[in-house]
Amino acid sequence: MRNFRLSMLVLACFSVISFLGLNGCGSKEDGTTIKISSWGDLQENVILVNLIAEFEKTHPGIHVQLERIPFSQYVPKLLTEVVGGIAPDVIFVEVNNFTDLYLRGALEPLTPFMQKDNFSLADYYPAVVDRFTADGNTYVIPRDTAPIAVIYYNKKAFDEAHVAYPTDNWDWNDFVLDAKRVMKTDATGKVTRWGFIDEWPIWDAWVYDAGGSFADDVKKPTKWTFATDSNSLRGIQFRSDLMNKYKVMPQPAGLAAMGGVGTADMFENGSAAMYFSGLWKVPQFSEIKDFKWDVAMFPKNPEGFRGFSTGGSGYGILKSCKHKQEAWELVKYISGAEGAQALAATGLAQPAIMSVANSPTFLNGQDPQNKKMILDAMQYVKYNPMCKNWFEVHDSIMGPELDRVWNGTETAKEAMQSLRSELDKNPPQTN
Amino acid sequence: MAFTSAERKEAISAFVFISPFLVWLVVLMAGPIIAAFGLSLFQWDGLFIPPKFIGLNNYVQMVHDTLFWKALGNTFYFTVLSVPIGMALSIIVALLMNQKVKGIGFFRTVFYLPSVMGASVAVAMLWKWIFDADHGLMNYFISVFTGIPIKDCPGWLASEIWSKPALIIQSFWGVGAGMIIYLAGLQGIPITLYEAADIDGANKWQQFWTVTLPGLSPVIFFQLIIGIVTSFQIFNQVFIMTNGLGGPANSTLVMVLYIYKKAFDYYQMGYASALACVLFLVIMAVTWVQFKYSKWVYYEGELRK
Repeated sequence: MRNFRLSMLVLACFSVISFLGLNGCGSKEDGTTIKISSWGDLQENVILVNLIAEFEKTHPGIHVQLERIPFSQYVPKLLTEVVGGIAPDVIFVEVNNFTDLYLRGALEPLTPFMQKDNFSLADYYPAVVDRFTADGNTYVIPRDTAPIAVIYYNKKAFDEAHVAYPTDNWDWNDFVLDAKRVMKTDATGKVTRWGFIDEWPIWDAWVYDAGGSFADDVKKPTKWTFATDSNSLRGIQFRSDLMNKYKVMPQPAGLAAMGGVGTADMFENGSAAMYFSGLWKVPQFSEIKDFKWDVAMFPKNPEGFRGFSTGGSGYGILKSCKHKQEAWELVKYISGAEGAQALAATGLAQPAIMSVANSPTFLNGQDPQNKKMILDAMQYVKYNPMCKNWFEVHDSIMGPELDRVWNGTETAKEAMQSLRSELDKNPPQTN
Repeated sequence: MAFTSAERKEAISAFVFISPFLVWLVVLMAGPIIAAFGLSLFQWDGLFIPPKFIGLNNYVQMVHDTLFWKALGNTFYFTVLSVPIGMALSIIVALLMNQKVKGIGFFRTVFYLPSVMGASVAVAMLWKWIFDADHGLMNYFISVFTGIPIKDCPGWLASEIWSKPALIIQSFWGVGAGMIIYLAGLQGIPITLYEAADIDGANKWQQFWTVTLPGLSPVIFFQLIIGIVTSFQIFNQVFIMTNGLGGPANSTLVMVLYIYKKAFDYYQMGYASALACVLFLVIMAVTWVQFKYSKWVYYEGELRK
């Protein structure tokens, strides 16, 4: 039945697309309604709700309708709404789905509005602004940035093993040494505490960190360089070695084995001493009672080079919006300093405005102690190549081949070799 | 040919009775199916750009699509093993449940119970735990009964080699549903045939081959067709048990999962429609072959020509 259901859905999409254009943004007789969609947890939502209330007070005649969608369903729901002709005007965009939306011509360039209002992005992290800029136009005003550069470490585990806490200056060798020393096994030789675990298979970080690459150009990729780049290979082999040679990290098999629990649970219950993710895990780990923890920057490679990917998000306007000027007013308002301050105070995310990120509101707010690290990390962030088929190639071609490397049935070199022809067959699609 | 008024009346009430299904079929199924065939001739990636007509290009692309062949292969692998073994198990259980022993109703319920939950998400989650390489029940039992240490047992869902067998084993969870139908079939075989066979001196084994199996053959044929059609469309279990990835190394990437990924993860609606059409044609062809070679099916009251 599944393919029937699929085709039903496809038909539904097909039939409603003809109505596109008949409905645009809703418009009230006594003013304009701007619809904005967003995701995020309750605390983040409250910030937005407050900002919107303020905005409506200072902008009479503009009514704002906020729609909160869970992140996992955000893009599918957005697409459905677009097809159904009830698309939002202002959308919250993340650095990766930005590519999907931009390349499909869904986003309105904001540069003309910015120039008219002398709206400057000088105080925003240049890397983030650059990500949201294409063909000389800015499409999204950044709200936050999220370098995937955070190694959470269990202080108790380090104390027990008499190992000094990691510093941001450590490299791969220090990292492996520490990870080995904080491991624990029971009498039967079974591991009770792993040295290291990542939130999901974040293998990209090792590629970037080794100085490797995925494509010839991030903004305008024309071919994949991943499988021919010896540094990429080195990064992949190192992550494999963590599992198969140094054995400080569980194999995917062993991971499923922890009773299907998420890897974050392994850090929380002490069965992994180090955990790799972004800053967004802080609220969850703040609940930990059994041990103290802090963060260190993702280690650099032995030559001292560093790199890791990053998340981050901001606000953009859909091309289908009928009241672009009003939508722009809203974007300007919610991505300004006031919203950034409120976000900084929650500690949920690193504001994209540098002066706010450097302010005590963000740095002295909550744990972790070494929060300043995340500011330094910004200089090393890398973005994924901007092409329509990035996720497909990453998840359906590279990922499955690398499964064999993680399982130890293939070396990184063998995987790269077998990837070459498949990658050549599926070059980056930029239009 | 003229209808009597009674016949006409009967025909009318028959149509009235099936009309809800007919409306559903025509409005909600036939339309979309035709639309999917139409859409398969378009390139439509994402919904912001109108579909672009590209003729049969999606089908040409498929020929060179490594993952399509992989998905098709995985689907065949699953079907070829899970359907016959599942059917054999169902028949064996049905034969056992057809014995006249005390409390048989209880046993029938027990064997049917898993099917009540069917291919639900909860069941898939449960099996994910069962196949857990280190802590799962499967390896625990293997280790207890064979003495093989758990660390040398199969990695099941984490292993490229064992992931498909794991899915096949999981599919036997549904043998109870087949059992019920075989049980009904068994009870429909006239007792007189067994008595006649008895008088002719046939032993139990001969009775099974010459009376029971031919008597069951229409049910077996029905189950074979339905079983193959549904196993070609396996999705839920794979989606849950592999976190929607079809891993490791695409070893559990089955056709419907591939269609789903193309449509909803990678926004290639046209190509996904083309894949769905190919799956439809494959299932049609396989079913047609089964009907063509269905001489082995014995219908009571039908004269052998």
